[in-house]
Amino acid sequence: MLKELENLLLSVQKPASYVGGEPGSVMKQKDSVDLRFAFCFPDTYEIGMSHLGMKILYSLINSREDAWCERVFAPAGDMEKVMREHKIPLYALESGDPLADFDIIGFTLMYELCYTNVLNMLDLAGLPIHAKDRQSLSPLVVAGGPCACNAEPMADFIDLFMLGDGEEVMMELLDLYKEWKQKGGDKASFLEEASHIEGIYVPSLYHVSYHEDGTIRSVTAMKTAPAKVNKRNVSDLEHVFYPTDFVVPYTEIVFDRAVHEIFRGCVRGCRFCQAGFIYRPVREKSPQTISRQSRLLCENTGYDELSLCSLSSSDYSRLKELLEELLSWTEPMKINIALPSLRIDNFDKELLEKLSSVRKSGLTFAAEAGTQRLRDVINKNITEEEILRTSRSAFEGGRTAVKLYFMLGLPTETADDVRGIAELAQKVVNEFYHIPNKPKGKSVQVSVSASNFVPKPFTPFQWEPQATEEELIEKQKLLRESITTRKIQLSCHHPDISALEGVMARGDRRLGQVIEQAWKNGCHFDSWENHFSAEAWRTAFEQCGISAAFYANRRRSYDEILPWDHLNYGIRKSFLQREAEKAKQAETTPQCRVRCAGCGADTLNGGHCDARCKD
Amino acid sequence: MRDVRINFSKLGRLRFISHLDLNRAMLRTLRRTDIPIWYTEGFNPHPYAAFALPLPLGAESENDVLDIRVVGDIKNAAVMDKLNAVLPDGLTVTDCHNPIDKFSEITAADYLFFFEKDADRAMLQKVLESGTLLCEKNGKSHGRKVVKTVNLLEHLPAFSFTEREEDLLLHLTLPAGSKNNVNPILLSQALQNQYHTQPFLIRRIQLLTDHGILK
Repeated sequence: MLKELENLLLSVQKPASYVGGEPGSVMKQKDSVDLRFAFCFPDTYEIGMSHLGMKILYSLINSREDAWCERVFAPAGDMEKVMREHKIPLYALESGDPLADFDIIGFTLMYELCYTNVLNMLDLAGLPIHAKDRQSLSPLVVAGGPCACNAEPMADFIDLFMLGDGEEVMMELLDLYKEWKQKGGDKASFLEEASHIEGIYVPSLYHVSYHEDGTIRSVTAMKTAPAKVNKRNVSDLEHVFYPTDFVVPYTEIVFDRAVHEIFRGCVRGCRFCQAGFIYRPVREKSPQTISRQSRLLCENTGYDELSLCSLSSSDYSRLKELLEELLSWTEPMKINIALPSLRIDNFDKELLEKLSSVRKSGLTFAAEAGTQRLRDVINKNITEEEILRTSRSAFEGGRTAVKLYFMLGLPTETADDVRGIAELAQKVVNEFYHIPNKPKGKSVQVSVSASNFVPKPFTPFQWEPQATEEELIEKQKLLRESITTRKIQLSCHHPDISALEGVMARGDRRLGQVIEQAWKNGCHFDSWENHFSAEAWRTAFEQCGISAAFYANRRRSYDEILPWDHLNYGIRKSFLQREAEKAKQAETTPQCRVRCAGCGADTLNGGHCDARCKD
Repeated sequence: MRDVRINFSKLGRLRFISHLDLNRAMLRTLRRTDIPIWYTEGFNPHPYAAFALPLPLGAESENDVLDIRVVGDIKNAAVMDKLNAVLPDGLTVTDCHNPIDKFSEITAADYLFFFEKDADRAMLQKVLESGTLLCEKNGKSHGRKVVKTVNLLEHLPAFSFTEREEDLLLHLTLPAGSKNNVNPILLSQALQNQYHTQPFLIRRIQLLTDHGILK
């Protein structure tokens, strides 16, 4: 590492996040590998290091003898200032080498508001931000993650996107790159060849034309690129690569624990939830494999907490068997099992006791909407009775705090629905005072968190207008006024941040210039409330002559060509349309295990879906 | 159940790891071995580990001291080997033995300050002999946060210089421990602020009691 950098590090916050060298980080000789991959997370170290996808791909790439994967994070403001002042280019943590030395630079796009950070990181690395200005094969700039399902706003900057599960397509991409590098092939021919790999989308090979009203006329594939790009699907989760070691950070990060993914996909079909659709179909891993792999992981990392990760833990079909398997070694090893998003209503009480024997976690309900009608619209099947019953048993068990999550601005939402949020929270408070043996000398605390609904691609609400900033401010005001007790604590999200997220989520490639302009206006870390500048973004939209409302607040018709229509995530448009119509009637769709709703996701998985085969 | 005293070094980029981070890293390191560690018996059982004296962020250490508690039969040499097998780069166990002194007996620590070759040795000597180097420090008075001015050279430190081909070494003994502690990083910053000279590296060499090196 540069001596100059070391001397500067003591002047910044959390210097440990800029030096690498953590247990589990992989060192190789750069001359003995054919490929160098810089895995970039466009946010700070403590957020990026918590990301499971990065841990998987880091270990996977490093399992190849011919490749070395290193980590790169966005430096915080103070560090960026120091780097720019002293002309230190953005470097990878393992080798300390600048990004420009790498073959492939890979970004993971976890949320839309990280886009300016991607530009800023490329710039800090001294690289041109536009894909067309990077003419040689290296460094190739690639991206993946959930936002790749509509990454059109980033099309000007990224050479290729990886859609869907990364484990297989990443290896095929590396093989192809190695071949091109060895034969001295050029970037254009590489990109065309790469577009033939299932799951790879090369935006420069698609021409988009527009109608006069601004909507899309057509998207045309050029050269030999496929007309429709399928997302990549890993069908056998049982045998797919899973890391036996993590990089264990020195500094505290957001999720500092061992994590194991127990299944992919979700059976619930909540209509607002993008993850619930784009990760389909449901594919489960066996309890034995999970147990064996996570034990190895705990032994290698020394973590004292194991988190089971999925979109909805209690929908894992063999949960009881899995927990018994895990508890047989986690108890003697004094490891705590964290089971996020667990529905505890019909769960084995004894097992639950054992789970919390080491540490008690909080009680959280994602009710999402304040009335049963609206919960039916969004297909969130949790009832008021369930919430109250579970709260009561939690209070009886000595807990005094409950968290409730809601969304404002959902389709068909009325003032009654907003007031319903306050009423539901009040009922939870009342529940506490109704129990005879309530904890003595303690008050109850109900935290209500109200975020703003953002319509996302590949959901039944993809055609819906997003509530405007003014509407959301009104709704927040109404909600705040409806709460009459201090026992309920309300926290709301900033409407202007949600508005921008909505624009980017359903945007097209004309937004590239706005992102660039906003970045030039000083925008980065847009998902951080203290960094976000609504003014700088507004100016950027004006400078580019682009209307944000066109993307966010307009109702799209079913026959409009959407910017992501040439990407196939398996979910049929006709299914989404059917769900959208049912939503308007407040009609629910049963979860996949009760009855298959025919979403079409199994078509990319050889006709298999674990939600259908089981039970 | 018995305590094992571990002497270890923390060198290179590990100096950017804070004391709390080091504590966590050491507990996890213990969990990566099969050393029969004793767990605390509270609500959050964790291995027992006590550090002799926190090392300030930014300084490296040649010889730091940590006590852990083990149960069952294990030789000190085995503890050392098992730890060294899994410790990350920059952390190395140099010795394991039965504790003799108490950590509360620590009164001083030896440091090496590495200066660039062209540093003004005469000036440094004058400052150290003057007995005065003031610095502002965040402290607490009656539960309130206050900024205090302290004299880092109140107790005249023993020091000596070694001129080497590549740099200038200042060997310095500063008060340390619970009664009187001088933070070498503060001293280095005060030198920079007032005399525009700063060591590029600070290394703690050993911890001292009134009767010699901490055993």
